[in-house]
Amino acid sequence: MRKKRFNTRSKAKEELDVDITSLLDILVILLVFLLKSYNASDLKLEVAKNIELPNSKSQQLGNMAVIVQVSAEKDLWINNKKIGRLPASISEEKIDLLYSALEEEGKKQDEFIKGLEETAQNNTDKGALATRKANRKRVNIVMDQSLPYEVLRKVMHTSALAGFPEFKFIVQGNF
Amino acid sequence: MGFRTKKKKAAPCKPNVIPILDAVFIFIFFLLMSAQFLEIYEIGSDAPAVMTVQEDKKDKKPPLNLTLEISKEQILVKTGLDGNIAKTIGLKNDNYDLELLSKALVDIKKKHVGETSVIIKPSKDVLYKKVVYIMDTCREVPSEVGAVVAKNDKGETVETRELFNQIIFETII
Repeated sequence: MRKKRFNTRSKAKEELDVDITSLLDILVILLVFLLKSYNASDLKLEVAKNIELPNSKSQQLGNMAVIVQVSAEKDLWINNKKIGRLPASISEEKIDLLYSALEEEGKKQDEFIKGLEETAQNNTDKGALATRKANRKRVNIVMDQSLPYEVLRKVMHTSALAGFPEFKFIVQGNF
Repeated sequence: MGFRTKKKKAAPCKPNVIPILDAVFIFIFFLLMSAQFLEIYEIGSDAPAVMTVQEDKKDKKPPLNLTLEISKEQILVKTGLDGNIAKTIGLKNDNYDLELLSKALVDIKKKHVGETSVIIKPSKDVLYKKVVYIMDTCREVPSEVGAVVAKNDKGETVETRELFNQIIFETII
């Protein structure tokens, strides 16, 4: 009896050997999947509700800049923040709501660039400053594919007037 | 003696995979942060810029001035300052005949291999997605068609897969 009890205690002290082969298999599959979906672009975009992006054959990666989004219901977003809705029929070429928001965004960017110019000392800061300057006039346009060109033209016209004459149309790839 | 040596087998060597697993986990977090599950790309276009050209700097060769006038029913491919209609592209199964447009653009590119810009002039009721399809057609030679090989203004042979990738929208400002 005593002997039996002693034997049980010694078995419990043995080192547990966990088989991690299946875990490693899962990790490798996850790694391959994530490597495939890795994107080097610095554009971080949250596509707003009710926006279906048009398909395209383009393979050009997007860059960080002001993002203007227009949904199918003509709701307007700037940098993922809703600013209002376009009227059903816009008689004027310039959209005042968008113009004032973009102008404000432009001022913010100018101030940021000015601040960077004063403080930039190392190469990383100088690189960030150069990128900011290069993208200063750029606007990323995210628009629902069902909208007519009339809306796009007015968005482009307003953006150009507000100091953003370089348009980048954000599209869905892999078409 | 020899028999005994053979009997002594070395204990199986177990590699320590813990540091590798640590590295893999960190790599996974990094990749999860930078993963983009919706493949997003961009098509560039600039607002038309106006500048005054001096008389002595004017080109000897007349400009191509390639313009696509897009209406709901057709695309008019126009060239030259007078806007001569080079081709009319109609509809095919409720969509524009983009194959025909591509062919027309390749023919123009062969004659003007140094030219890279196209002016797009859609009417206000044309859908945005159709404008994007047309922009795609303007930018590249289709994969099933070989590269465009032609001689440029200097007499050099140029091989390119790009058509007119500098897209300008008319009447923006």
